[in-house]
Amino acid sequence: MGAFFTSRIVSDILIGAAQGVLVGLIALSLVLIWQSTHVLNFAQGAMAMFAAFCGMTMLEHGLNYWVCVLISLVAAMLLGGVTERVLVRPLYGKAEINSIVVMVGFLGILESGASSIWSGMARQLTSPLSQTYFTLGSKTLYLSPFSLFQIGSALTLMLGVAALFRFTKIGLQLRASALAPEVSRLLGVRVSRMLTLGWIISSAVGAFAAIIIATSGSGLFPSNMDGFFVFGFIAAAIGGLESPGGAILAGLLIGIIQTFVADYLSPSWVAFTPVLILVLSQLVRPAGIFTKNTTRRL
Amino acid sequence: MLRRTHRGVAIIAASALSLSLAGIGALSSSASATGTDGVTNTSITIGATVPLSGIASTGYSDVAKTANAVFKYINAKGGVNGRKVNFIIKDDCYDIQALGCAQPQTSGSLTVAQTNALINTSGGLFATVGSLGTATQDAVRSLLNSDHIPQLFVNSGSTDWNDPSHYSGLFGWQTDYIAEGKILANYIKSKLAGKKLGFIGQDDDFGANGLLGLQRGGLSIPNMGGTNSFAYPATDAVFNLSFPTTLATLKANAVKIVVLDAVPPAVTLILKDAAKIGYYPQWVISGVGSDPQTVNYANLSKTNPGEMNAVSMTFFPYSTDTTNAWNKWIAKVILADKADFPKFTSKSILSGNMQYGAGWAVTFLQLLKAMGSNVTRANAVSTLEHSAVSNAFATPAVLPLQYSPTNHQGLGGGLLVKIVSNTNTTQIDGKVYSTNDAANGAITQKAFVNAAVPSWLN
Repeated sequence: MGAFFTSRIVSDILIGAAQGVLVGLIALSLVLIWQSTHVLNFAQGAMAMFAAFCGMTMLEHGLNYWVCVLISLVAAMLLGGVTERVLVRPLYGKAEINSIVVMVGFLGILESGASSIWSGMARQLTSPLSQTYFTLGSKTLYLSPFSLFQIGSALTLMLGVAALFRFTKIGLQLRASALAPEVSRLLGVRVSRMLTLGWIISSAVGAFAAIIIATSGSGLFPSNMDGFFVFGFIAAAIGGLESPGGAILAGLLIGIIQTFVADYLSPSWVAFTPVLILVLSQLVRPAGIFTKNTTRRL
Repeated sequence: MLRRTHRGVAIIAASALSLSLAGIGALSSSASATGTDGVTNTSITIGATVPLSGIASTGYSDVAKTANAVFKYINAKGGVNGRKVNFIIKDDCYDIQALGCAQPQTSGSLTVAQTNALINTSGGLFATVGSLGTATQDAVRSLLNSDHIPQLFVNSGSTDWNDPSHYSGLFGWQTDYIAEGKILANYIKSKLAGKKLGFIGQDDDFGANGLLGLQRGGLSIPNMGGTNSFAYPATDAVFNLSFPTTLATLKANAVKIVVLDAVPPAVTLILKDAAKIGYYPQWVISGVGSDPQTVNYANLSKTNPGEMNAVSMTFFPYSTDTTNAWNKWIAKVILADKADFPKFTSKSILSGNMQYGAGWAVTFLQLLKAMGSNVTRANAVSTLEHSAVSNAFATPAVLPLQYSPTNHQGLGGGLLVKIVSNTNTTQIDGKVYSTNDAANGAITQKAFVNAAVPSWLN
């Protein structure tokens, strides 16, 4: 049994899954904003990075890791809410290109702002949990306490968000506000609050992902979310932009397939792989693999 | 110290997001028709394109800022031969107009557009000095060449800058990757002989030339893709997928020495992923990726040494040497520039990027001084090619420049250093090694001497 868990195939799956859930979380945060306000937020990665900086730099002042995470999440919620109210609200009802241009501009402002405030130097975040992989006998089992936390918390968040949308009144109001704001308003839903709430939840999910990425990867620096954002965007598109579960699963799929490509073919194909998956998935199911809504096309 | 980075990520970014990724090579020359060359009796105008924003700006803005601090310092003392240096910095986003680039989008290459803006500076541009990047500077070398504008001290370890027969005004500055590889190979052969070797390199000319240097230095490492020799895509510096399996293979094969030609974020990931599987070989890291302040590996300990004890090469005095006259001078210059370095204090340790910016800035000041009253572009080139003059320039580098009519590369070696903490390095044997790129080119060694700073710079 030990030989199976430490085999090359299982190792690749575990390595890919740990990376994939992070892509999935970014995708999830994009889906949340899309579902609540039908905006493609190109600044999602940069907002997450900025919020992560707000809290995680407190580590240098001796604060506990989890307290720093909490500060980052609060900062993310504030940033998300304010962004929706100030930047995005004037754009509702206008052509989609307007919000894209504004959010790309916002991305540049956040990254250069972070660079000015905290410098462009990568900060290493001391991990609260061991990142050393477990061993079975003399072989490595590619799971560590931190990667278990990483995978577990991503799946919990996904289930939580799915449950919020499916089973709660607020979730129903969130969906209704996005799909039919006028009707919702007539039915007494406070649409404007719902739109802001969507951004608040989404920003918190994104910031959480940014913190995990910085802790497990090459540290926190202004552009450290750029690569993940792109893959997250692709995962969201594959998942169909409507489905929280689809976003996480598409992220997992991307991470695992990429690891197999890196291990069995060539690492140089890794960056190309998600785009190929996107093209193929759009050919097969243009509305997204995991979406039931067939009227929306990319 | 500079390199290409993250380009793959940005390429994906651009294609996936349908943002326009500028095509390098759309050279549309707009000749400088101002009739002047940027020189007056009291000033000389030079410029550089560097990534101040965008995906490649991380950590590298200090290079041009330190050079600017050097020029401001000298200007405050009246300049060189009565001329103050007017240094114009243009942000080219590393020519990747995607995520994070703060410049307005252009339909062609941003580096070409910004270089044209420099060329069209009112009053003219004497030369570009210290522009950054391999692909970016390759894209403008024809443009600058046809406009007869010197392209001095390109910030990259590529060998593309050493082509005097085609680009007479083009000069590199730092030691190239091949020469560095040869010197690291020499150390491995003499001090770490008989141990099993591995290699991880970036899959472009940085990794390929570094490996070529190791091979020319006499090490038997196969090309990337062969046994224990791995390539990683630049994207893996952000999105980590190949390193876990690469390191597992090296560990399983009992490889004891691993040479890295990798950028700092990739080095960080490699060190972390090795620690996760309890793999601690002797690391030998290219100077491009070893600066401990940039790698900044947390949690150094005996059981997890991180980058500690890694061997690397630098062409500057090692950073713990606070008695070094050049280190002290650079710190003084940066301390005087509160506007650009508000957080730098008398206790701060210089980073490799700061030393690098000061290095080529001082070289330019030496050139300006050597030209005397005859400040023309032609004289700049011939002064640099005049080995007896240019090779005697005192600069922060630990070895002399090697410019000649047939060699425009610049430095050809460095000092071997060991990383001792996540801020500091120390010298290994106190010797400065120098060589050229040829397989049969000998490696010479000389004791490292703490050179004096010329009084006119103080």
